[in-house]
Amino acid sequence: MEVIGDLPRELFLEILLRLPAESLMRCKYVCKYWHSLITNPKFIQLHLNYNYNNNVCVLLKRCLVTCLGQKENLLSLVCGNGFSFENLDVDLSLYRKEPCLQLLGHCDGIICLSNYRDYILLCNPATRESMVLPESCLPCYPWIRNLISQTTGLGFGYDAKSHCFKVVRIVSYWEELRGSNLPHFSRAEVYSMGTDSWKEINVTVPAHVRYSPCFETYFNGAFHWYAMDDNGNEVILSFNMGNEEFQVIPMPSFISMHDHSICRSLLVWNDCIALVIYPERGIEKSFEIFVMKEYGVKESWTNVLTIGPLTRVERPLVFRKNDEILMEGSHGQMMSYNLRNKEVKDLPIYGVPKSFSTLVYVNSLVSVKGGNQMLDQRDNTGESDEW
Amino acid sequence: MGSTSTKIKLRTSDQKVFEVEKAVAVQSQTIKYIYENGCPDSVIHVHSVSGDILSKILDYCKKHVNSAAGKEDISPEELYEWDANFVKVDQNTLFDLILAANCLKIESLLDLTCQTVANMIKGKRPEEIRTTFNIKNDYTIEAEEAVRRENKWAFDMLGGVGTMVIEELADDTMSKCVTNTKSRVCVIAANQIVMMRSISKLANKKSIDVYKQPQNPTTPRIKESVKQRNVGTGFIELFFHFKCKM
Repeated sequence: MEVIGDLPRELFLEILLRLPAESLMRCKYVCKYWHSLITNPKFIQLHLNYNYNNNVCVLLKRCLVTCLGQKENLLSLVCGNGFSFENLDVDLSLYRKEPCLQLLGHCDGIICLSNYRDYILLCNPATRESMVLPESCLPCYPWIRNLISQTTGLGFGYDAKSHCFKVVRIVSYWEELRGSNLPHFSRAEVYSMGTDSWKEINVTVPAHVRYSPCFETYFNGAFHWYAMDDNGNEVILSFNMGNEEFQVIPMPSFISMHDHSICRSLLVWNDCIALVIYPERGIEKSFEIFVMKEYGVKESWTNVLTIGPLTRVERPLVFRKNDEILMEGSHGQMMSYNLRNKEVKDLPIYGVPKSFSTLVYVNSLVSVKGGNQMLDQRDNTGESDEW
Repeated sequence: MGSTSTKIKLRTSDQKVFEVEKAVAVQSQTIKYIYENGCPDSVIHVHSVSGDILSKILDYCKKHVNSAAGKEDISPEELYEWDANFVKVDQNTLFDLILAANCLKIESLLDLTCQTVANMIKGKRPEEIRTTFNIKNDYTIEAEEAVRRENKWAFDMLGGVGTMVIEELADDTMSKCVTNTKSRVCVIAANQIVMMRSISKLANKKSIDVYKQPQNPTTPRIKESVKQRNVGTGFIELFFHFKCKM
């Protein structure tokens, strides 16, 4: 009596869709029929779409101090109302204790982590698959001039045209002797999933990436960084994953430049990019939110609202569900602010202060190595029955 | 005549006839379509659903219609509990409900029943899933060995990382945990992992030893039982990572 086996395929799929990717990985080994359904690229896409509609959550990277006094990186999933979370079993191996480990981005269930020097990792936390990217192809020039190179920008996103994930790296070069703030020039290279190497792109990088807390964001098919152009103006530098071109997006004109006591963060809100401006220090902080209503158009920056003043809040992390924003508190605690009722809630998630990094995440079965995208070359005929 | 007192007659596959209020019956998009496009007085034949199953489904529809219309004073949490009890049935009935909910196009019931089956699958290892649903393992021994090597963690005992935030660390906390592949148990308080022990040592223990970071680096590490420890923030995050040898 095998009742579940009697279910028609489409109803059985309804059940499988409601399982997290981790459970589906186990279900693969129940029997060959289940294996064939779960590994089918069409199902993987269906499952991904289902999760985008129903199971979006927040992925958090933070540092914790072990009893030996060392700092360890930990990845967690913050679900639902924020009061429940799950720690993820991602094998960071040597880089578990890496102090500068950054969460770069997320696409379709795959996340990218890096220490901005020699280590870039792509991994799918649900399927436990991971891959370290090969070394950079960009040259170092020490023997020609006294140039110092440094990776200043890293981005991760998806190219919808060629159906693959891409990682972009910007390397900047300084002339050691001049010691100026802005690099002499920058070059960029792209890694496409499925290939085995980096490829330098022959474009000028029109602005120089700089650090700003919680700024790097993937939106609208492009990755965005905080940057400064050659005239010293602050801008948003964006890289389009599809046509592999850089674009400079101006900041709103009413921001006072060069004021280093003010922080700028870029978040995604209501399908637009939003700039959050707030003081770096202070017990009470107000957060001004500017939304770029029309992407790329400077005049469309609108001061939509101001949050606060709030006490004990360090900086914003990510918008969740359009009416809630998660923030990091001043003592390494996470909090959530509800935009509707203006309520601040303390969440029971702790970490070393300033080590929090978040992104919006869905779990999926998508492979880190690519190749299981639905619209493969041979599958272009559409509804071919491969089930 | 008020529309709320309109009744619809339904005949099942085993020739049982049910007379239900229109508002309840049209929860099913199929019945709604037939009613609106056919003769309202005739009996609607629901040929793929048996009497027992239809009776249960009508209970579900009635409960949800009444709660939505405010006829029954029931909170969302109570309705959620009612739904949870509704699906506490044997597998045969559960799958019959899925088939019927699909055929009658009752989306919320389909979602509820499918999610129930999904919850029966979550967190189980492959052999446990086979046992629960009586599925035959058609992998040959060699094939199974090969896939085991490919994704060893999927076969480990009770896969999954468990985290719980609790007010006080009780004696029976261990029994509530879900486990996964590594062999450490971490107790985290505030931003400090205050305890890391290998699970094999913890297997049958009732209390858990905690190593506190010394304030003064020269003093030796203090070992104390968790029950006495004042965590300061009021609760401890228990973070479990362990695997049992198979």
